[in-house]
Amino acid sequence: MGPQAKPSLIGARVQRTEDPRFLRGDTRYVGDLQLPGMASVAFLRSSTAHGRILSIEGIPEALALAGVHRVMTGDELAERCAPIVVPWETFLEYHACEQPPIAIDTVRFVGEILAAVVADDRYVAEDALELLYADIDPLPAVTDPLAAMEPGAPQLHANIPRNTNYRGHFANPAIERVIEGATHAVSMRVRMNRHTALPMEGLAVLAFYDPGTENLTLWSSTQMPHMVRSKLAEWLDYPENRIRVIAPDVGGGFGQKANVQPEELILAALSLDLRRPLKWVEDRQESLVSSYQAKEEVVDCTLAFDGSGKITGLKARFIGDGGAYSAYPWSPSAEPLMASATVQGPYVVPVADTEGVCVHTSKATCSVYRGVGQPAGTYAMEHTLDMAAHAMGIDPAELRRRNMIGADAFPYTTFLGGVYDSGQPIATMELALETIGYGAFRAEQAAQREAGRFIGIGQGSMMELTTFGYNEMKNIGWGQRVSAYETAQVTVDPSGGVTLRAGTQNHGQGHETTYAQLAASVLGCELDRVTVETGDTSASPYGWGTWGSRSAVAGGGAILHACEHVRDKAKRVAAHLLEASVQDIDYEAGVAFVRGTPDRALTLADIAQAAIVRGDVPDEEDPTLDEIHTYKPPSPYAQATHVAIVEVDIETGEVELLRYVVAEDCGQMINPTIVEGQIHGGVAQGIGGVLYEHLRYDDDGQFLTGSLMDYLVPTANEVPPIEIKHLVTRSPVSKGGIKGMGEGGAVAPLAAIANAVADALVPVCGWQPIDTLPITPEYVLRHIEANATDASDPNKEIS
Amino acid sequence: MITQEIEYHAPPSLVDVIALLDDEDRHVELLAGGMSLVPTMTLGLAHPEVLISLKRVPDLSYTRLFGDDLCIGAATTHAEITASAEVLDNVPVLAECASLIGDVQIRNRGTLGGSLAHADPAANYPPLALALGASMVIRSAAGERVVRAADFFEGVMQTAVAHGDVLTEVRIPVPESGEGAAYREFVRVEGNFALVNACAVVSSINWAGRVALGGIASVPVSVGLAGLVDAGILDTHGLDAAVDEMTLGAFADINGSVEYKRSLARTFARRAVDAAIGRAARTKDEQ
Repeated sequence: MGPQAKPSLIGARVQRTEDPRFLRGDTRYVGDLQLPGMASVAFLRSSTAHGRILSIEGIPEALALAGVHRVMTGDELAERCAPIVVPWETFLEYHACEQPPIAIDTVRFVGEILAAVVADDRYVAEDALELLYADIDPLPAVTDPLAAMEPGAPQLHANIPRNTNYRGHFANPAIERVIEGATHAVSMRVRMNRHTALPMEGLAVLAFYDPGTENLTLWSSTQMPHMVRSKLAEWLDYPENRIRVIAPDVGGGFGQKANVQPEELILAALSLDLRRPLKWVEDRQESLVSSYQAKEEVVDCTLAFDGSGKITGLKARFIGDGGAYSAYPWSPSAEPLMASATVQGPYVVPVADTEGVCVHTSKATCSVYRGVGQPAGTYAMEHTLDMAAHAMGIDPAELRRRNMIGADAFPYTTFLGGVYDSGQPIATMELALETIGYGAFRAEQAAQREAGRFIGIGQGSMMELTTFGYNEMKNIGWGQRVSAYETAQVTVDPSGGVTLRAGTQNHGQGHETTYAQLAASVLGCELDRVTVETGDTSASPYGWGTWGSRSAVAGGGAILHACEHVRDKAKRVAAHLLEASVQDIDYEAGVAFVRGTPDRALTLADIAQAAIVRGDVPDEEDPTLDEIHTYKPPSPYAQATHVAIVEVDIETGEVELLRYVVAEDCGQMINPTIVEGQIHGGVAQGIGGVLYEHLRYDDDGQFLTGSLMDYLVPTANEVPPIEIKHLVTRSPVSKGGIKGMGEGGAVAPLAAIANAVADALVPVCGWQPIDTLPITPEYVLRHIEANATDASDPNKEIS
Repeated sequence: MITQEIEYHAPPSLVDVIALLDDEDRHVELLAGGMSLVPTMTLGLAHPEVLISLKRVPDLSYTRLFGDDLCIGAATTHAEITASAEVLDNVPVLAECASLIGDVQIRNRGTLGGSLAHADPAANYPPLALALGASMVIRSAAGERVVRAADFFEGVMQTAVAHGDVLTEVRIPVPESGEGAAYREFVRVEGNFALVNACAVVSSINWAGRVALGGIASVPVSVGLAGLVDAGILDTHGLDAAVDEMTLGAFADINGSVEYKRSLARTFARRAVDAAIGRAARTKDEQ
């Protein structure tokens, strides 16, 4: 009788082990933490978009209020803290601005911090805010990125002419000739809407300077605790080995928390000054008005085709509205840069010329949000493809079929020299189309049209750049700030229990479950014998947090390697204990035994007891079962096709989602249930981005969407059931064949839904590009009205 | 967050409430379910100095038939209205309307009287009150008076409930046999306020009726359907023209332009009237 081989937990639908505590409310967020002597911080924020700060009035009155301890202005903070700046030596044109965490002299967006108040509690602190008044001499605001680039536009930073902080042109001079010589060429422009991640838990910081140890501890709702620690040390000029950053339970981030926040610096500086714990928890108004925003772009895209419908050329330009400042470490250029780098998607594109531009405006700063540029790039390619399909009279799916990269063409080198490691885009698309019943849809659509209903179908196919590996980051230049390796430490305790530590930071992704699945698979132990510790710079090895769909590949790869090292060590110790040669030791299902004599088996706990407690190991070995491994991950590409069926009410303009199908291939899945959960959340955010969510400013830079009554977010009622199909093409470049997939769900919905809406409206106004997002009901009616008269569709019939 | 100091009372009787309302110097607000007032306060848009909660006042939460009216206590929650047998049997359109307010949590706390007295132009009840000819019972130190819906709504968040008044009851005439009524609204995201809402009532005996619209102007507006419905068929062009005339006061906001809101008004007036005609016709068939 030998040990029973257990099925691997990699790929198993394990229920999330962290969920019981979330469901019971037994979690600990920054907002839950209390320390003796803790005071609260509130911020005076600007209600002027752009202006000279003449003075902050009312400080003596505020300080006179019982319970108020400190009012800090930008000048005072500057004595303690350097400005936020994002240096970047790049072959592309780039200009870095400086952002004092509390504004000095000039304010550049509504919501910018003008002063910080410390008081016994938030109530008193907010009472004190009522006594403060910022005397600001208004300057002209500029809220449109195209206008901001014009000569004579208000210039927001003295060192950044025409407000243009980034211009990256991946030029190919052949493109003009290709477009001129094309049998068909189509062009479109779309304005993508500014929206925001809106995590359930906003930002939150608790800073505690302990005068006894001189240690500064910062609890923060962040995705990147180590990076925050390093920048606190640098900008506050405080020894990094005396700073500890802890991210406890974090209620979502989606990229918004993958930045250093001004509030983190301010609270740390104030705590050093006042020598007491200080807490600030962002409220929803602050979350909307001042937290990093995202995704506003003006997109131009041209596709050229030969007579057989093959793409001959792609020209695209993405102008990102970066807002007022530059968030560390990404800078707002991340959005247009990523769009211009990924617009090719899963297609063969012989000649491509793409450009990304980023512009400062008098609005909140934009940074990264789930998908970063890839939704815009995918929209440009996929919506222009549909436009071309209609112009050429080719079925949109057929046009894609003719142009997609064949499964046998991988690894495939992109126009930029990146490498798609593996995939099967055509099979993925066919699976999605088959699932939704594409073949029967046109007949159904015609029948519904007879009944006075307007339904449409649309797809979005994509390649998802995941992980942003070590070399990829170097190539982009981001590696100067974020080298993006990952380290895991695996420690077996004397009872045989396993503790994993990594520099990634779980903020909803289920790492406590998936990392444990990896370790339990390699070490053969039960899942509940594995504990996962991340998010504490004093407990985890230095690492780069969780963003960019990186943790499964980067953190998971490091864990797999480290667990294999532990397993190998356990075999060596077992060989020593069993007086056998290591070559004769088998390790299965958590026990080591001499091959052929499984009755003389040692469990991991037996081996741990021998090694750690009794020191019974070979002379050349340390008496531990503790391994650390640093992994320089690759950048595997996941891929997917999303297909949406919508109904448009042509009286109200309302778009209703009837069906939504995702066929995806993210390589080896660790836990399909968690993969599907990620897709559900991503699609919901994509639906929000294309139909509802819009951060709006008026021409003077006043913010118009400061509550969830004005900033619309889809609820469970607006998100249809999402039908998901999986294909599995293991990555040949990553440990375990794993690909990232955290962002993909949010990448394709914009294109799929806009394509479906345009398709539904063909009988009303012909196929016309959806040129402004979000697709509000009023936009739909205007779109119909603007195009109904010159509709080119011969089947046009106005109801 | 709410930053100002507030004096809070929860008196045990209506008499005590009315006595506390007699405060000329300070900003006094009545607190019912708190589903409108409290968010307004947290957004810093209202700064009452005195809050008088109605939660301990007995006999403000009921639904009962009295004469030809369905009488509903002002503190009856939307959820209670949705589930009330008296409402479902006699004025089912009220349950339909209440069931579409906000979300479950809001319906469990928010009240009929609170919503009507708050008089948000986009709230669900105002067009229903106007279409069905509801009356509001208002108590004050001077006694009790009854105000018809047509006279109740005075402006954006302004009603006939004046300083020192408490809205205690809403009376809705039970529709006569052969009448059908329907409530329709346009909301973008479940739980949000409607951009435009409409309530229509139509009689299958003489095809008379009324349609009222909310969300389109500072107060709900309505028009009689005489001459617009004949033998169960709606004259849509006639109704469109009538709606256009009564929505001249439409205002633009972040949710839409004047032009768009007026087009929604036409659409939802039609949809409400069509649904009401359908229900009236069914009522007729059943007899």
